[in-house]
Amino acid sequence: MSPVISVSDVTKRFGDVTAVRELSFEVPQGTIFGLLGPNGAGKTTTLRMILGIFLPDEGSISVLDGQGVEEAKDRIGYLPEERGLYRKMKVGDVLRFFCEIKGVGKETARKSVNYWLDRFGLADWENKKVEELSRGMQQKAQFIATIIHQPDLLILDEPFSGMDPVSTAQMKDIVIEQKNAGTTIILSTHIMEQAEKLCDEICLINKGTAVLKGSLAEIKRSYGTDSVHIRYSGDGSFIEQLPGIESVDDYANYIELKVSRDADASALLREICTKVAVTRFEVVEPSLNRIFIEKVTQTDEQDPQDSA
Amino acid sequence: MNKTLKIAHREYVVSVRRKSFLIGIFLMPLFIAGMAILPSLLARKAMEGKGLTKSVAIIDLTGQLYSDVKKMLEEQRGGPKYMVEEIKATGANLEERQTELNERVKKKQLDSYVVIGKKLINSHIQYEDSPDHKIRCYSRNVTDFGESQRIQGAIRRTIIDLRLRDVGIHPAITAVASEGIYMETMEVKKGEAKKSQGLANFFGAFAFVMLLFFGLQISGQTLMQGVIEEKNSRIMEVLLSSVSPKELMRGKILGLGAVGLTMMVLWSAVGYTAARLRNFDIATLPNVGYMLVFFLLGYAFFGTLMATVGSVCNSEKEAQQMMMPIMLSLVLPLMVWFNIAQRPDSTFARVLSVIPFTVPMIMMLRIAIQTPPAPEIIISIVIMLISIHICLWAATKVFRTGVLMYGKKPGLREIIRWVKYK
Repeated sequence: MSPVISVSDVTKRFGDVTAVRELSFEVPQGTIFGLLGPNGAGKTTTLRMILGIFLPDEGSISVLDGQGVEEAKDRIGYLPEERGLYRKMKVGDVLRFFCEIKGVGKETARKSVNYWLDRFGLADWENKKVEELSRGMQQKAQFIATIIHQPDLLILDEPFSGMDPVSTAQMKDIVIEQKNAGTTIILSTHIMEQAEKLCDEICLINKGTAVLKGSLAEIKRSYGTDSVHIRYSGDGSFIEQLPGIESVDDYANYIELKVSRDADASALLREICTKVAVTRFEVVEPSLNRIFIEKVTQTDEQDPQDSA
Repeated sequence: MNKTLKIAHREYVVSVRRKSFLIGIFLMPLFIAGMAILPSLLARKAMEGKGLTKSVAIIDLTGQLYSDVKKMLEEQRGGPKYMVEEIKATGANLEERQTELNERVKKKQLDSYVVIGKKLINSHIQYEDSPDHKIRCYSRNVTDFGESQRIQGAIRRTIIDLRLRDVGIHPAITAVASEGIYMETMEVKKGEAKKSQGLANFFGAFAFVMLLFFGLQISGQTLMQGVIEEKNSRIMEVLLSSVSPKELMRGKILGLGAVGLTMMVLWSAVGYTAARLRNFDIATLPNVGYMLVFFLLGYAFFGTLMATVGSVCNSEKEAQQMMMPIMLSLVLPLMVWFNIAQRPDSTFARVLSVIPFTVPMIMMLRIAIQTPPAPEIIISIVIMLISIHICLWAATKVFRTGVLMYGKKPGLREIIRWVKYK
């Protein structure tokens, strides 16, 4: 199956700053694709180029079977990181407007708006002005505006930022539901736990270039089971000094250790047990978060003059 | 319906429902009426000075005129009631007397005082450019033309009577002889003479220009604010993921243009009806038609410029600075209208009729005053159409880059570079 999006050798500069450099990746049909990277890595610029809001300086982007950018827009739903709705308009009017400028007919738009408002429990708010909604409700309305025209491609830029757990779960369910219905989804985030739970494929970018890409499962497998999660009570500061420990990430509730390949996990457990009370000990694949931090620091070190 | 029209439709519906629009629609005609009627009412009242009491002091250095002048001023019909007093002075203490009178004028005990030069009566025989040969009127308010005319008139009549009596003609004859000579100006238009409505036409033409000015200014400003607002509320990105920058910009210009046109049509209807009721010749349907045409042309031009300014700015405050040249070119016709209205065929008027910034208002003014030859009108319209076309092309380029730029406002050189982007 041909990819829904293929980005090949794309470079985008703004004045003297190169926001994206020779970036290439493909998004397969029907997957959730994670575009990951630290703040300022070039994620939003890449998304805007996919949407045809910006044109790349070099390279090419093909979206939805190589359709023209403007025609493809009707089949794309975009949730930008910076949210915005017409504050003075009624919720229903705004949503119908956003639906109609995607080329949806009046009647279909009306039905669709009713369906989604109902589903998100906003039906009573249809005739209220947007500014009267709480922040959380505005976020939901914005999300509705994104999916209301049943797009084939959903582009979500930091979709869960500033959302409470209940809304996050609700939105996550709908994202999965869309995926199961065959929609391709690009998820841009710097929160790795979310990406880890949702994504099939990822592309990690730092300073505008891809530093890691491919299927999430394969990436994690390639890193091997060199990680150990330990939960314990007591003073664990000595653990860092133990032989065979390469790095420690402290997550407060548990710690993640990276151990050298020849280290013996059971010897490690015995050693630790003598000093603190261990309630959990697990040998696992590394978390995406650790891979992320490792990769980003690695590339930052390779390219010191750039990070200045 | 295509996307441009969808955008336009939303702009229209939202704008005409806005309170400020409804207020503008109704308040503007009141404002115009007020502007047109109040000053002339006030001016006439002041000119006639009816019901007012004016105190005037006279220093008669000839020693022969005072009693007649006093009588004439006091018996004058229609004007204000005069309280006249005589101040005796000689050449020696004149200055001293005047200092006292200046003080009284300052304290508002006196409205004005007059010094009649001592050689005035015979100044027709021997005239010198000196105070001795003149009447000098000292007043707090020197722009009150009616007042100075009345005082001058009384003194003139007194002197004329005196001079005529010297050559043996009775004052009663002078009175009869100067009665009933009036001039009426007629306007020749399309080969027909009509009673001129000089001033009414003059100000009527100005009303057209004012309407155009307000229409262009309000519509353009609304457009600019709309762009800045969408930029600040970050709606831009959602919109641009659905429509192209070109569709977005044209949709907005179109929608708010329709709002502006609605406003202009309503104002014209009110103005036209009012002017017809008072029989003003200048309010013709072709004139109203021309105004709407020039509104649309001017709006397309200025609106595009203002939308572009909005797209590169982050706040209205920032935009004000870039708006300056645009606003100045809008105001310019208001500053020169008097000159153009008096000489609608001058080179100056013709030059302004081919500069896109001034075409709409200047051409409207010329058409209202004295319709220029058809080729001139057509040329000015063609110039507008070409300018609009170029403007839209460049603006679309700047717009697409500008609307998603936040932070530092770009310089002019930067903006020109955006135009060159593919």
